[in-house]
Amino acid sequence: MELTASDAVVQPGLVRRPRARPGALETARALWPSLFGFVLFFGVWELGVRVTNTPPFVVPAPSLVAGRFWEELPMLLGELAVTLVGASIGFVIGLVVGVVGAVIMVHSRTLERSLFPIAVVIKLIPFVALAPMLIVWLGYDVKPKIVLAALITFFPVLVNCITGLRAVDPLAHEFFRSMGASRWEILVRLRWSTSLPYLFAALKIVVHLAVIGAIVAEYFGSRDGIGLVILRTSESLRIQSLFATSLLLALLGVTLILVTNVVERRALYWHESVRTSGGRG
Amino acid sequence: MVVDSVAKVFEGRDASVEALREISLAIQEHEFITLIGPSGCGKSTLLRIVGGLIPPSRGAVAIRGRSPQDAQRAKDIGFVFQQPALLPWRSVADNVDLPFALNKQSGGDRRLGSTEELLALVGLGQFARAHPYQLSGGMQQRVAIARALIFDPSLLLMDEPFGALDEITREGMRYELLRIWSQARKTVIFVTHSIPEAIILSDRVIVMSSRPGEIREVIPIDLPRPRDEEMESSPEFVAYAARLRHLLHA
Repeated sequence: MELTASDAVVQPGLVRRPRARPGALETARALWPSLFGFVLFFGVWELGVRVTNTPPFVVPAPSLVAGRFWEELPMLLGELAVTLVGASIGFVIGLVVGVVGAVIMVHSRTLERSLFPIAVVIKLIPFVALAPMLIVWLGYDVKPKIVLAALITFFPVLVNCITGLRAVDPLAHEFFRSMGASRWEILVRLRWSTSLPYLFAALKIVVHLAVIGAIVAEYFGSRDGIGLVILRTSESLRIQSLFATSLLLALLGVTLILVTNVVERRALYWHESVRTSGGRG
Repeated sequence: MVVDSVAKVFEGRDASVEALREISLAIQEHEFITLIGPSGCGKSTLLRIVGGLIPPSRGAVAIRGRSPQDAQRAKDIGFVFQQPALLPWRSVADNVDLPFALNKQSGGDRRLGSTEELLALVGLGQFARAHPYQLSGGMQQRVAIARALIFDPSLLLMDEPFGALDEITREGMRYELLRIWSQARKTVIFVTHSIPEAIILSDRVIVMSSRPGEIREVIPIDLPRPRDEEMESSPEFVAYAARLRHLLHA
């Protein structure tokens, strides 16, 4: 069996999933600019605070924040766990509602015309206005957090999922039809995988917004959670503690995005967005 | 199979376009038919009507006595398009097996051969576990051909399958297709713009004119089989090419 010249592009040995595994040296080389940026940022901050003699209750030096962060970490982690329960339940609900809504709207123009405007209206209500109402209706417990996190999650998921489910290769769609495939088969075997890159783009925006939704709900009325910590420390102007809390939330946000990236790489190894982005996470 | 006075009019908002007018055609089992004509002459539209993807405005198509929709439901039609249209998340072998994952109630588990045999037939024996993005355009199109053959359809529809390939790969694919066809004899309707492709592949070439698409002439190609590259410089071939060129430019 002879192969033509253009067939010699890939060696059979290459045929496994090519995941670039950079060596330690390469990783270091890729990471040092970001590390340098952080060191510079915190160095200038520390120096600036010391030189200008700014009192720590206005702007604390990073070293003070780090100390406070360490002291309060056990308490903060306990409260964060409470927040995360509400945020993750809301996130999952928002995700499911968004995906199911997208599937329905992709299959019926009529339902899309009647449901999508409602979704837009919900999206347009400022969440700081919605939070107090939800607390009045649902009480001082986990329910308002779940609802707010779900509302924040669902809209980007819905919009991206609709776009993704529609983005099927028209010829692949014709091939499915020429096989007599049902709408269900086209959905499960063609549309779903096509929509995944769009879904992940939405998830990257939404993972930490869901946490912020839960925190906003707690801020307006809750017996526990990070939102309550922020409320108390800001009322008593404990600026160092506010910084420590913000640091924890920043670290959480980074972790969530990194985890989403790892999951995306595993799920979308076949997609050009993952294949062409090199070995970095 | 029979195409009986098929016509297709696309109704637009302000104007309607008459894509096909009074197309009638009878095709023998195992015959290789090529549709050739200028862009916009309705070749692809005719192919999609035969394949049951769009309904004709008038007339009817019968494939072994059934409507295209019934033939489609029975998984009796294989399609190869201008682009391979593979699923990038499935391996090559899983792409070839795709027809078995779909429309299971049709009971269509006839197989031309195992997945390995089909990939060997199209010359991709070692690439079963590769993913489409690791293959060149020509190789992807071979996967699409294997996918269209594996469930052993009686009719194979090919819509400019080599149109997106570079000229060198394209010339090789012609003979590759003839070799595959000699081993898996199907009724083939093949749409192309290429005169040499039409002559080398076909038993009959259907020349179409455009707007509205009509059959201008049917030319039987009396070249012996198996055909090879040498034939492209034979006097018979050159005569057919001249005649086709004349018809297409008239």
